[in-house]
Amino acid sequence: MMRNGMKMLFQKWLLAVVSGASIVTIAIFWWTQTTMAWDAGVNVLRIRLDDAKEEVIHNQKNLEKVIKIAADAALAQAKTFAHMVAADPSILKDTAKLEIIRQDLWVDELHVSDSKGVLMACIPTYAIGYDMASSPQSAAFMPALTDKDFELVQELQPNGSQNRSVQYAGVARKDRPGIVQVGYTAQTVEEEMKLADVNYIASTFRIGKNGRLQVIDNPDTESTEEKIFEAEVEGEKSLCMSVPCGKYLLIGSYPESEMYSARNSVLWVLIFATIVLFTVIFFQVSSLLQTVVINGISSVNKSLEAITAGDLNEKISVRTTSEFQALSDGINTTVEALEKSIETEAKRLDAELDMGRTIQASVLPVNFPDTDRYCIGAGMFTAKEVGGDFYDFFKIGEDKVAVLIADVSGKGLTAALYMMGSKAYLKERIISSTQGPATAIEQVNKELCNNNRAHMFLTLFAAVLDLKTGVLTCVNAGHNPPLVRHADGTWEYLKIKHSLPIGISSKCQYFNIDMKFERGDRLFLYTDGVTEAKNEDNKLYGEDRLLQELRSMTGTPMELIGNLKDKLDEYSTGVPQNDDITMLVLDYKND
Amino acid sequence: MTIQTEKNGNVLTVIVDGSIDTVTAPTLEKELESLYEGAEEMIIDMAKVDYVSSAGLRVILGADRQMNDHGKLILRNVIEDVKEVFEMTGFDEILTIE
Repeated sequence: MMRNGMKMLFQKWLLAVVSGASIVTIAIFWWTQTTMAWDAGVNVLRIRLDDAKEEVIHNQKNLEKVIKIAADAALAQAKTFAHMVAADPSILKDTAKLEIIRQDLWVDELHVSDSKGVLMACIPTYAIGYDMASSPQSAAFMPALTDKDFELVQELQPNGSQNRSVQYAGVARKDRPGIVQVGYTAQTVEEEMKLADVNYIASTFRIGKNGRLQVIDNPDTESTEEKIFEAEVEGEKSLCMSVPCGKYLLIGSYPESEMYSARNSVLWVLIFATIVLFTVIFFQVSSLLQTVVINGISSVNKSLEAITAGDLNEKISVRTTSEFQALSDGINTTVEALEKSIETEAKRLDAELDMGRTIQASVLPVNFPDTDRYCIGAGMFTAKEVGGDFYDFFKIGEDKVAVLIADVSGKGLTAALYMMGSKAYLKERIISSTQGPATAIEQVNKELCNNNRAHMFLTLFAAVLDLKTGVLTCVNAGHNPPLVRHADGTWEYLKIKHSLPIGISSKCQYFNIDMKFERGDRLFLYTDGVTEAKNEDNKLYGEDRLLQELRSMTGTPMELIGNLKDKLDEYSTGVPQNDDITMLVLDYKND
Repeated sequence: MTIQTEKNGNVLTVIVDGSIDTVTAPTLEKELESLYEGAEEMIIDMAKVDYVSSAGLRVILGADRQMNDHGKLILRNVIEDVKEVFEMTGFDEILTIE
């Protein structure tokens, strides 16, 4: 779990950092490429618009030249015709000759008027009789009637009937007043004009692959500023630039799809490359983490588990990196120090336990009386940790014998000392008491309650047997109920009125309970280590089982204690003894 | 033995699971010591306590004494076997058992 946790955390962060870096990289690329593509687009537009401007200007100049040449030619033809008429006016009457002259001059129309401006000779002939003054176009030639040096080349005139443009040139008649005029279809000029037409240029002009040029009339001929803007052209978002060119405004458009095509295709390659690169980095770092850190940690953890489980001899030897080496050495040193201090502590504890046990054992009487009137046997089997059980027995005067069994709550040296003190005090009080053990116990209780910060207390069962009368005076201070075997062999629990354990409440009252003890009766005192012995299923030995087992047990007090201990051991096979087991048997013997 | 605590305002419920014997009593004692402060009422839920030894009684007595200074200690859901121990030792008279 720990390992996955760390790895996942690391990977999460790595992923965040790596994807963040990828996004930033791509964003920077996108931004620079977009800026560059924009600049390039603007450059393309500017260069192409310059070209367009040049072309427009060039064509305009060409057109002007052609118009000039055509006009000069037309004038020359008109002059030539005027000279021919002056040289031989008779040709005016000869339509066939005029036709030849027309062909030679390579014009379409020949007009000669009389002194009033009315056409008198024409090719084609249908115009004869036409008054030149009747339309503004032809009237422009009227001054030739009076001005001998008059010459005029008109601009191209649309000739409605023939759907083509005709240019007229005219001069004054040399031999007499009149107008000599030639007209011809200005095919070259027309073509030239077509070529010079800005709309024609625009339709054939390309910017990039699909960029367009559009020409509109310049609304502001003063401005020479170029303008850059974005607009939708033929359904495509385009970068546009407008450049003034005389009376025109040239607008170039460059589709953004084309402008950004390089950026977009490289962008996909870059995204792909970035993903591949960062994926490789991600897995490489992950696997590096796994081999360098995680494996080391899990190895350290494995060793630590062994150490925690109790194997202090386990050594950690992860030496892949200097950090791990230091960690391994550090842990090893710590464990060694720990081992040493545990040893010291264990020794100290052992010493304390030994002392406790020694105290416990040393204060217990071991010379078991076996007189003609009574017999006492007792045994205490301490648990690993010192508890505070004790038993005691002593004579009170000549005819009374007291037996006590107690269980001090708590363990260790404190419990042992508490037990030692209370045992001595109880004995002293009970011996000197004239009103039975209850009074003595009340005094001891008060004393023990006075200074009891550790909340220690002891459960006690005390009985004083008057060997003469057979009266058994009992006091139960919160202790397990003892058992009595009657002379007839039946056992029963002695459940008498009981009070609180000693050391709890200084106001507690204790009671002497008198009962008749017959000769041959047996009193069995024990501590809860007996009834609360556990088996492997964690089940308590219990009062019922104790009663059952005692029924089959005969023999001396010591034999009974030994047998019962065997039974308890059998019951608790495989379970460590947690509490002291203490028993005491008092027999009231027959005479 | 495991110990679980639930705090509801000033009422603290300590749920003990297992035996309170010589071995486990010190653990419970330590745990309870850290809980006295701020608790006006401490409830020890004994439903899952199958056995209380004299060492356990001492811890419970100590808790009772501590809580009596500024509140109260209540033992709840005490099972029959454990109740017998309290009765045998007279603890049933000094402890609040519900």
